[in-house]
Amino acid sequence: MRTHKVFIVFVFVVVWEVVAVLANSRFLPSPLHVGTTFWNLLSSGALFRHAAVSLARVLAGFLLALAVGLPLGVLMGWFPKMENLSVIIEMLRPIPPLAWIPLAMLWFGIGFQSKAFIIFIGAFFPILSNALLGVRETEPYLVEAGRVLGASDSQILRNIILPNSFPSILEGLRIGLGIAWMCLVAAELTGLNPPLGLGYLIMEARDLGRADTVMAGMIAIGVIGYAMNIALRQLEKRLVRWRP
Amino acid sequence: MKKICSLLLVILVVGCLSQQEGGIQSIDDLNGKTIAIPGKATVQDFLLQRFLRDNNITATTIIVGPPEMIQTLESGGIDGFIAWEPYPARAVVEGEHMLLVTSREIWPHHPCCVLAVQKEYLAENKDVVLAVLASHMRATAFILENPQEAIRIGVDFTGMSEEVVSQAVQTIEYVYEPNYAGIKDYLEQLLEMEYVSSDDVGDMDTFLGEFVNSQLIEEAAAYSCSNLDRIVRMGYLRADLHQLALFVALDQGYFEEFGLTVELYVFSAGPQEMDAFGSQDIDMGYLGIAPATTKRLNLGIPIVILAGANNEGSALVVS
Repeated sequence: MRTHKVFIVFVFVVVWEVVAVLANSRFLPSPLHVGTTFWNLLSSGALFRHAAVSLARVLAGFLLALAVGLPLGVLMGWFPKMENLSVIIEMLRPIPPLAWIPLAMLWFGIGFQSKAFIIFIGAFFPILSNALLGVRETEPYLVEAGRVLGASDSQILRNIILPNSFPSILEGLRIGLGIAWMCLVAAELTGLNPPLGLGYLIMEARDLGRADTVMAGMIAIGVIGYAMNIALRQLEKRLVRWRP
Repeated sequence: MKKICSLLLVILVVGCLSQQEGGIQSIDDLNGKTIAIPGKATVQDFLLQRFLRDNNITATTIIVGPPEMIQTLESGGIDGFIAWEPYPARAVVEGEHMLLVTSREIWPHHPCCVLAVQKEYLAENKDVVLAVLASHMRATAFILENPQEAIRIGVDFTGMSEEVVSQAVQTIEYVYEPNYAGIKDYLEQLLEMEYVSSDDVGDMDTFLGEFVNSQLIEEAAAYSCSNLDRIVRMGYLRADLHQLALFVALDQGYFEEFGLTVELYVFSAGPQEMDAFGSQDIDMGYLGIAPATTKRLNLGIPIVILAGANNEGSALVVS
């Protein structure tokens, strides 16, 4: 499997190189050119600084979404009355996180908070709705069996519903983290303080007309996103080992 | 759960603390402060770098769209900004912020916005280009002869108050001759700043000879025609009073007299407008000389500078 993947990446790079050579345009730098730029950014430490700041922003927004979205989703799945909240949720959900940018800038300025807010909005809905779904779709016979054995509400919630909805919750986290990462870059494109972050790197390079740096920034985002996804999948495997 | 909560708190606190404070009274107070620019390689970025270098100051520059600059200044996200008029005048008149330095003081009579054309478009549509140039010259003369009327048009164009616009136009020199020596000065400093590479420039005078066309403006002065029946796609920057000539020409119907329809495309900063030149979505456009030069070289976007639009007309404002 692994060799297949490496081969596919290799083919991709070769095709890119051929297209770049054929196009012979500064609009499409070759992989070699982009690779050199990537290496220069990496070895100067600049890429690391940008990525670290971006990761901190994503983490803050994501954890906030987790802290609010997960309990709210579980509560909405548990108490039928709470589910009526979904009127609001379903109306807010279709609004793209990026549409919040002007308000985020007004409310929180261009600093850390406004980026965290945009990421929070992006990650919040998938986390919430997957938690809700997981809780609601718990098989009724499991809950009933618990009741027959004399379990209290909180015991049922903690020992039956939560473990049972774990796969769904983790799926929500994975989607949420992916969306958070996408929102981050767009949020960083709007100007920020301090002037660091992978989105900012791309914006600056765009202004300067350096397509190679733009692509190097994109690759960094792709690699980190890929790694985060793998990490979450590993976590999923370990936490829900009992799952068939 | 506890660990996650405390981690979250730490991240939020660190984020809040990373925003700085402190008033600015003089040029020296700028040291270590955060100043917003409309974009990397814009005229304002260029002027700020020059100003900081001349005064031996180090400051952090960040990119903020000019329409968001005043609110960002007021929310404390930045300590100051440098922008094209009328944003500085608006900050001074409406927000009572302090105008620290004008671009006239940084570099007297520095060129700023220019009128550019897609190279291929020029070769194929010289009559249209001449008509646009003639309208541009006439509109510039109109601004100089009828300042009050020009301010009215500026108010319509920018959507800002008459007080702001009339204060703003005072700092702008409206011109139409391309300023060859000034553009060369820009290029030299762009090289020094390493925004462009000397490999791309080659011989400086050869490059500038191709990049700046000073003859067409003379030809346009004598150009006349009434039935071109053509459409030209024109880029400009949002609420940039430097480009007032475009709106005077539209308001006074100069383009129509040539039988020319102008389709407008608005951009938030010069680098974005250059991308539209690159994708051939616009034929001509008003934009700053710094982004035009930078992207002409770095991306090889083939444009030619035909005329100046203004000298000076930017300022650094602090809260």
